[in-house]
Amino acid sequence: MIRVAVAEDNLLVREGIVHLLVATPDVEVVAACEDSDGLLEALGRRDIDVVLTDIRMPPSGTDEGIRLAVALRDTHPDVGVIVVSQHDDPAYALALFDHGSDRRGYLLKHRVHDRAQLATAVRSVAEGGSVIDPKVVEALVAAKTRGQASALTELTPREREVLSEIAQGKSNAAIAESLFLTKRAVEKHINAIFLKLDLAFADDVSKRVKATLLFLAEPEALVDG
Amino acid sequence: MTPERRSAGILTMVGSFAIMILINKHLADKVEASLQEVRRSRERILAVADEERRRIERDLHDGAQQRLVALRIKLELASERSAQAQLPDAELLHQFGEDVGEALDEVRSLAAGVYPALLVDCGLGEALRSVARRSATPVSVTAQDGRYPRQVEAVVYFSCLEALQNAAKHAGARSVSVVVTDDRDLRFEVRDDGCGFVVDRDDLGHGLTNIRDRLGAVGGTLQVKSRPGGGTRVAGTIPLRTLD
Repeated sequence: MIRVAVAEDNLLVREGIVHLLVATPDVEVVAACEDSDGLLEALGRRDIDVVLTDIRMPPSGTDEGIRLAVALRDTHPDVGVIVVSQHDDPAYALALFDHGSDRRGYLLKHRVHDRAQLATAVRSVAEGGSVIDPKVVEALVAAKTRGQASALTELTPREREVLSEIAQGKSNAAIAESLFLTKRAVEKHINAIFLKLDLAFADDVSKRVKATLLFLAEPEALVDG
Repeated sequence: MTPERRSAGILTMVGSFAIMILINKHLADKVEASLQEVRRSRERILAVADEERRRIERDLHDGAQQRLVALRIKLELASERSAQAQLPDAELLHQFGEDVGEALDEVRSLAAGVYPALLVDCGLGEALRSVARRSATPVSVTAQDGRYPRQVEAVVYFSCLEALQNAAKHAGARSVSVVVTDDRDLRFEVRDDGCGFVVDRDDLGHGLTNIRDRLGAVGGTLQVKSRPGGGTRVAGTIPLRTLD
């Protein structure tokens, strides 16, 4: 059983998320709090594996969820944190992963109703992995396709398939499995994708885009490196 | 004319001059004071409008958006339950959920348009880059990650947004560049390669007048350079020291 604590200041949304999680067989909701103080108190009282927190909570109503995730890395290194956010802008997701990506997840609030995705995210983060809502990456890729037509059209159909798997947060092994490829072949495709995109991306966004894509492909490598 | 009378005449003249200078000085002071009051009231009006926008964004986020998120979850759960019980309503409930999702998207984009949370949380650079990502016309953004007084950030953000809209809507630009720099002043420049126009100082049109008003309220100035066929450059300068 994965023990989950939920922090969300809006009562209706909090109850909704709790109901979604309760209906998931391998998840147990052990605390539902309305702010970070309540959550910290719950962490002191109970054993918790994963915290699911809103990004925007009292008192400042800006990025409490991310600050909480950063603070917990020091005080509770074994606890996974999923930040639920209304922002599909990558700046927030990158701020969350700035301090390391293991045991961290970033989900969009308007897609939190997708119970399968929510459950997968909770499990991945509990196992030490990381999750980013594919919509955040899709938005980036869509912007790139509009802005610089050449960047993504250079990819072969196979490379596009691999990229879309990357965007869904899959590991190399999982991509290999779903596309019936060897792990080595997947690595080759990913290298080709980065090479092509890297050459074509504009200066001011290249680092961010690369970081997100690299992160999605090889979270472990990013943490170690 | 006797020397005495001449002296008296000069004295009267000097006296009148002195009085005129005093009156002038008094009038100039009055004008200066009124101007200052106008400047301050423009600043206040902008600050109030700005605060109001932020409040509406917060209300939309804390109210309508959260309710729709919660409703979406409820419909999804109800749809699942119906499917398990093999009731015919499952698909319909799921469809309702999708509809709520679309309403939620509309409210989100409305809230972001009223006042982008990204501007408050991460500053000008990130907020402008986000606009660029969403733009149908390719936009490059060069901006540091520095933070400035909230009102100044809002003026630059909404001015650039207005200029970008002009470039896309009226100029038919193929690409636009936005550059924000700061030395002692904060400067922005939006440059497009569109069709351009003849600049009429007295009638800048709605969009540019809006930018000029916003800039004026924080002591800033607007420069517009454009000519038919030669693209457009909209630039603004805001003094930073007076606003500390």
